[in-house]
Amino acid sequence: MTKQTDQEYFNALWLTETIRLQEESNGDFADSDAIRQARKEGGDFQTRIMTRAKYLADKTNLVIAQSSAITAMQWSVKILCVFSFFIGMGLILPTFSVENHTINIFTALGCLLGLNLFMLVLWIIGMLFGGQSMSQLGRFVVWLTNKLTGKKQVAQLMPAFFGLLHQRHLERWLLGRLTNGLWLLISVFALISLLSLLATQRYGFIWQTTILSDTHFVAIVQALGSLPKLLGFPIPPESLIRRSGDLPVMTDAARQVWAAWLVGVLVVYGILPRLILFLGCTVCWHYGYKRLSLDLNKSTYHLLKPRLLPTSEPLGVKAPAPTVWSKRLPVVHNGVQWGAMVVGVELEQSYPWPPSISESTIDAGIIETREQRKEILEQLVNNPVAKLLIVCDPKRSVDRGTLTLISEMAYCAADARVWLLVDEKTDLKRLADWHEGLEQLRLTYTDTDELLGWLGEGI
Amino acid sequence: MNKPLVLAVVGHTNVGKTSLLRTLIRDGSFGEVSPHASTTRHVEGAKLFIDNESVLELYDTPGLEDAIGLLDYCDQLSAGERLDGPERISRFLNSNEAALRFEQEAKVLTQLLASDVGLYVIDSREPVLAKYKDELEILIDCGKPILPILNFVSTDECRREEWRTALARLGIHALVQFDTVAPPEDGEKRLYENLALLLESARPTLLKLIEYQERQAKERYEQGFNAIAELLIDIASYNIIVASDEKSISQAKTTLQVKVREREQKCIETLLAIYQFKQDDAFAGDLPLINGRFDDDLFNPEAIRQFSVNAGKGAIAGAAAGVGVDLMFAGLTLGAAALLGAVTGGVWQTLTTYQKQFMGKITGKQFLGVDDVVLQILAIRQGELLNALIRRGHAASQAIQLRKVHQEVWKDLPKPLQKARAHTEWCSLLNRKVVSDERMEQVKVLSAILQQEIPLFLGQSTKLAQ
Repeated sequence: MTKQTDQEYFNALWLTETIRLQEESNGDFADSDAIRQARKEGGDFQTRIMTRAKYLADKTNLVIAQSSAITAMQWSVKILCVFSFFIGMGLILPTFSVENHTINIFTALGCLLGLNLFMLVLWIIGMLFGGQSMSQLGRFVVWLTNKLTGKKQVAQLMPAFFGLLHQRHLERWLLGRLTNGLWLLISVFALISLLSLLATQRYGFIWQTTILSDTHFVAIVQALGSLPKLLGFPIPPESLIRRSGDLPVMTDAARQVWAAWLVGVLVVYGILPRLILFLGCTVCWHYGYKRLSLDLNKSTYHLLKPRLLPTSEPLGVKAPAPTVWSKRLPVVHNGVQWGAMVVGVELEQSYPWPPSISESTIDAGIIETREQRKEILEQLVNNPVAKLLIVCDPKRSVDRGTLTLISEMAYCAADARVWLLVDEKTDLKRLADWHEGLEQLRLTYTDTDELLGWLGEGI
Repeated sequence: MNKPLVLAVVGHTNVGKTSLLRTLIRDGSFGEVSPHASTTRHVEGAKLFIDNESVLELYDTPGLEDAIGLLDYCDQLSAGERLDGPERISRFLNSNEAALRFEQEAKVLTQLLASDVGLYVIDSREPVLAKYKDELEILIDCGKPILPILNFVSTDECRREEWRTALARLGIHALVQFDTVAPPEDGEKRLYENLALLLESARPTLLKLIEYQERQAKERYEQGFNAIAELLIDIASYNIIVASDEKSISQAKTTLQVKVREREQKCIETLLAIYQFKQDDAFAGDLPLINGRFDDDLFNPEAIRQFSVNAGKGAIAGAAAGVGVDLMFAGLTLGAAALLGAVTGGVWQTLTTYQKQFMGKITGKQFLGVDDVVLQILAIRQGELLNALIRRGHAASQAIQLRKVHQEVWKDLPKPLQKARAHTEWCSLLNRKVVSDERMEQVKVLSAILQQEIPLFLGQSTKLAQ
């Protein structure tokens, strides 16, 4: 996704991550409102997660905490800038406040560049081998931010902040930007202090050595000066360098050459590397910053998916259930005195039919089709019987059609009973449905073959 | 946006229409399901989305109960006229009885007329009775394509061929087998593919739906294994230092067991959530769980013994089985651990961990951790649960039994777990906030290992069991 990452978008991501971390460690929020809101506002999955988080953050005052954290961070950086002003001044003062205004060139260089270069080396080593851990400066900023806001929630925000940045390893670029920016400031302040001192005081430059020869010294000064020379800073001529070994050469020209050389060295070795690194870190930071997004593979987010972006949604009831459910009326029997019949309803082909019955009992066969139904009913209406045994298989689920057939047949007999063929495969719940249906018809039923006896007796 | 495809789920009463719908929309709370006949008496619908675009509308209808009577009545209405199917149906729908005796049937037919296709659900255990054929005749009269769905095909009483022949005689040749209790993994795909054959115009949408659902399934699967990997890393890295007297050890062991059980429970809940089962879903109880929990206790000595005959020493002894004392020194020698640390780059970490342990050793304290065998049981149990969830429709009504397994998944624990042993700070049971990239990396690696090895293992043990 190449969505433009502006501050607002970043803040929303940050809040979302904070909410995620909170939910992972303390359990879910009551979020049904937030989910509704997110679904109402729509958008893709990430947008919905962010809307939900925004809503939850609003409720828990996290948004306010965030804005105060941002302010605090800005203040922390401002405070560091002020520090760097003093540090910049501090680099210059010890060397340049000597009594007789005679400055050892190499002491000056050490003061101006030593700490800076040492820290630079440390930073580079940290970048190359330090892994992901935060630098001391980073810890200091977090600590300062916490102190400045004094809000408990800020402590919850910071892990999310670094977690989010870590996704694209941005924390190193952010801290790099901070470190190099501060050293840039320090160096610039040092330069300004240096220039103002050089402009208002008169200094003489010397060098001293115990074991080195002046040839070495000339070489060092010229080597250091070669890069600044490209920018137009002068290199002191060899004769001047040799002469400065004993006493400061107090001509204006000599002083100016030395001063310009010193400024050049500071600019090239102190300011320029930091400037370049600062710009480099800024570019890397912006590159990653614009590409930040949520890691939707995180299980916490994944679990939100069914609710935020449902794959299905109920449409509700379209045609409601009938309010008055037609009641089955009990069967009224006629008073016929003679005849017995057995009939099977929707039995399987494999069922051994007919059951063992006396010769006088009529076998009406197994009824299944529409035609068979019509036929049996016609026969029964014309020749009602005294006893009718209806054999059913409760493995079929009972339905209105079957019950209608049973009641219509029973209507044509003085006494009709139902034999339910229960075996081990019978579903007991379906059997219960049969019982219920037959009770509504007020028909006698059993699960055993005892009714065959009833059918045979007294005809 | 295209108009969504409208499907009506129709069929005899009590054949699993609502169950089919639940499975298709992955929502176990849709409608009402019971083994009793005519549970659904209204028409209710649900939408399916692809990335927020509604592509499918499914309607659940009441069961057809009196097709024979209805057919009779239709004949009576046509009174000898030669009418085509839809005309017969519309005459019925305008009749008196459509609001009285055949109100339920009228609702079904009205919905079918408003839909693009009818999915005719069949209880394949039933013989092909005349009333079913009559039902189909009425449905065909509506003039909409009908796709039969054979339900309950995984039972022994399934009469697939009988139904296939009967349907062919009625001119219906497409047929989908789809068990709503245990839907085949590609069941939905086959269903939609068959629909695409019936409805050429809806083909692109349906193919998109198939692709989308496959993607979702893959995502769920990976998330599931991630959750299991998280659990295992948490448990493997869980170890505490205790004083070496009998009483504090046994106390600590009990606490450890309780914590591990709780953590396992959390994983179960996560897996259920990933597969969109709620713990209080009526059907979640039919998973290999009882009230959302495994019925066998994780630390049951018998289970541990069954699991592995040569479980490590102390693993199965005593009340607090499965908890190893001095685990670090017993399970992993200091040298091996240091080597592992060196190889894996966490040298410093390893050193500090072992320094702590070494000091513990000197000051007479003991290390307590969870045995390897318990980690294996956890891996298998959760793997089986995930497996069951994949194969479970949202309409399941029979419990799946967890098999007893008599072998180990791994001879040696996978590298990430061995590593986790030395990283107490990875354990979410001990630390409130675990933010470690290394841990995240190891969870990923372990998840990949599980994805590869658990299905293989479960497949093998099934074969062994047979």
